[in-house]
Amino acid sequence: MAYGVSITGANDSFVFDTTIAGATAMPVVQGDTGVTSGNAYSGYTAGDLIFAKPANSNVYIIGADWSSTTPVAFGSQTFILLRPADTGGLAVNQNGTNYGLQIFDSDGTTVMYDSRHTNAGLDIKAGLGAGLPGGGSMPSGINGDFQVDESSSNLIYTAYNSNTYVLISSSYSRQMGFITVRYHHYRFKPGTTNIYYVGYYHWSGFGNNGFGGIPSSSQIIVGDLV
Amino acid sequence: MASYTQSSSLILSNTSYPISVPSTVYAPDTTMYCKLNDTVNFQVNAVQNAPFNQIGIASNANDSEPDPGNLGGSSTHADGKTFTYTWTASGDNFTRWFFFNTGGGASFADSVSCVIRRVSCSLGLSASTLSASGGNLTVTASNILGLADPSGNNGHRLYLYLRNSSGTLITSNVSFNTAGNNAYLGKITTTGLTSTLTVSSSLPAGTYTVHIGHYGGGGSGNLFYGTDHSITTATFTKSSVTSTVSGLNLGADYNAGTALSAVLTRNSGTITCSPTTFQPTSSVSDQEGSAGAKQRLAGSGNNFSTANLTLNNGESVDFQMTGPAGYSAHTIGRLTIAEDHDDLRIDTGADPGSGGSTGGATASNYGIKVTKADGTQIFGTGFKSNVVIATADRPALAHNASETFSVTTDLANIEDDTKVAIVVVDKFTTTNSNHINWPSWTVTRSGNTFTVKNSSGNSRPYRYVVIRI
Repeated sequence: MAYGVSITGANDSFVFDTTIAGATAMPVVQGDTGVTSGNAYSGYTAGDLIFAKPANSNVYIIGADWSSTTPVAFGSQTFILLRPADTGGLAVNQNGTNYGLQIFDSDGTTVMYDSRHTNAGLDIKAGLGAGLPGGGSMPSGINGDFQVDESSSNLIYTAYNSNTYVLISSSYSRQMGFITVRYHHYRFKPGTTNIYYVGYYHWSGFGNNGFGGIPSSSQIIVGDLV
Repeated sequence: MASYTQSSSLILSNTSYPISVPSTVYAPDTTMYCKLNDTVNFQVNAVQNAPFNQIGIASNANDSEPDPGNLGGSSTHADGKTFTYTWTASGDNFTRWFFFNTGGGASFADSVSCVIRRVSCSLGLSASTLSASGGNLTVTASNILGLADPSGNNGHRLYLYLRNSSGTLITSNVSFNTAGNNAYLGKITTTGLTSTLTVSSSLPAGTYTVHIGHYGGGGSGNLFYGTDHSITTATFTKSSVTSTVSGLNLGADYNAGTALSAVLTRNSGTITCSPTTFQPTSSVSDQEGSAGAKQRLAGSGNNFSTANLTLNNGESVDFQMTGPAGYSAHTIGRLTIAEDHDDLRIDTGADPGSGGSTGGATASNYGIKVTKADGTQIFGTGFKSNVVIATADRPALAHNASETFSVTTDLANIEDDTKVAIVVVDKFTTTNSNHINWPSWTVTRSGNTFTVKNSSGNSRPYRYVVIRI
């Protein structure tokens, strides 16, 4: 390449490449913030990516309702926010220093990466394509919700720890009349290191009921906050 | 055309016009089955010692059409008369003839009726050829008319059987999954219209005819597979040539490194069939771990599925599987086409930890590393980071509409979703709790483009985020 920085790790793992037009790192601009179920994510700005984990082991599944202007958590969570580095107004004192690494686009002004934007990083561990897990649920109620299908087809990650988060931006959680829909929800199964995809619909009315799985429609990303 | 004959005496009964039923097992409430243009005969005898030995027929009763063809304009007939009709009424599938003793003193207590069901149907096979190795054919009956609903284990069935080109009944090397005691005799009912015919490799090559026939009580030949009872047929040819395929190759196994749940798509290679008319079945299976093996016909743009495919010569299959969801593990998926198969294995490496002084995923000691004050690495070599390479807010996309975007990456294409994540954020908002629609987005990738489709029931705005990971 004629200029810039290209960083590639082992196994062809991607770190950064300035030859990608418009590429911009997504620094962690807000870490470890709590939100209780039914409340909005504080600090969220349109364009942010929200990664979340259950607030504690009593939370059965987590998701988000994006049917209002500001997304609302389903299940109490701890979340972090990632924001594109080229977003104006990003603080440049997050790590308390004035040195580090700054990468500009070819115009010399657009910031592609600035280490001062953050004092943390999200180390991507898994990316799972859309349409893979089948979702599904079983009708017996658990913690006010339906028991999720923990079959292997919905297992997306087997090594979660206390710093592991999953992208929640594609989530949808809503009750519409007699229909409940939850998809792109996740279960961090307590006592294990497994994360399961959760997607289902359930309806109940007119003396009858039914349910079924909803596969993922968007990419699932799992990462560790460091 | 076949001829069926039954007989009965008038019956002393408290029930008016009891039905003459020769077989309560195979044809309950029925005297005879027949086909179009068959002749049906029913002989009626008066009751012994009855005061009058004349037979009356109520030819104007409900369900009595078509009537016997030899009434001669009379409603009274001699004892022992055989009433007959050649079934030309293509619009009728049922008749019931009512007979009684003309002796008024008996108050019609001596009576009998004859129920005749005229059946018709069509028959289809899932393929017209089988290779020398045999295989399965799906036999499907359709447009069934005149057959009563099934009763018990044997009542009111149509029967499937094979004859070779010489007309010889085939009783070995074939079996129907709907058969009873005799595997070569399949059964069809009004509620079970299909049967799977399994043909073994031992069946000699040749042309075979699959028959579907009705129960033949009152006729000639075997009650179930007598030639008189065959309604219609379908044929297939069993080849003397063993059909084979070549060209199946999924390529080398894949090491996903530290990428978990890696999704890998490979093409099968062009499949050459021998003979070229051979239509092999393509199937997928998980051999080890949760491989999630799926397939689709290459170039179809269909969703990946676990369903079998039927291929034609020169086609290929896109095979997709998922790598392990944990470290130091593997999954193996299999693609099977006809007699051939190929396995694909995805391995993951050891848990790299989370950055730190060891360099995380690379364990290397070179490159760029950004650390925070305590020395923890937050960016650089060995750290699989996320970089947005395209994002946009999009106006409402109509139901079932789609739009395509192109993306520049450092990759040859963006089809590897372990390296490029495409996230769709649904932005439809409403405060109406009775608005029953939910998001259903589909993202498909091709080269350096991706297409977003809204399969939800309403128009919805959204934001896409393309992330290099």
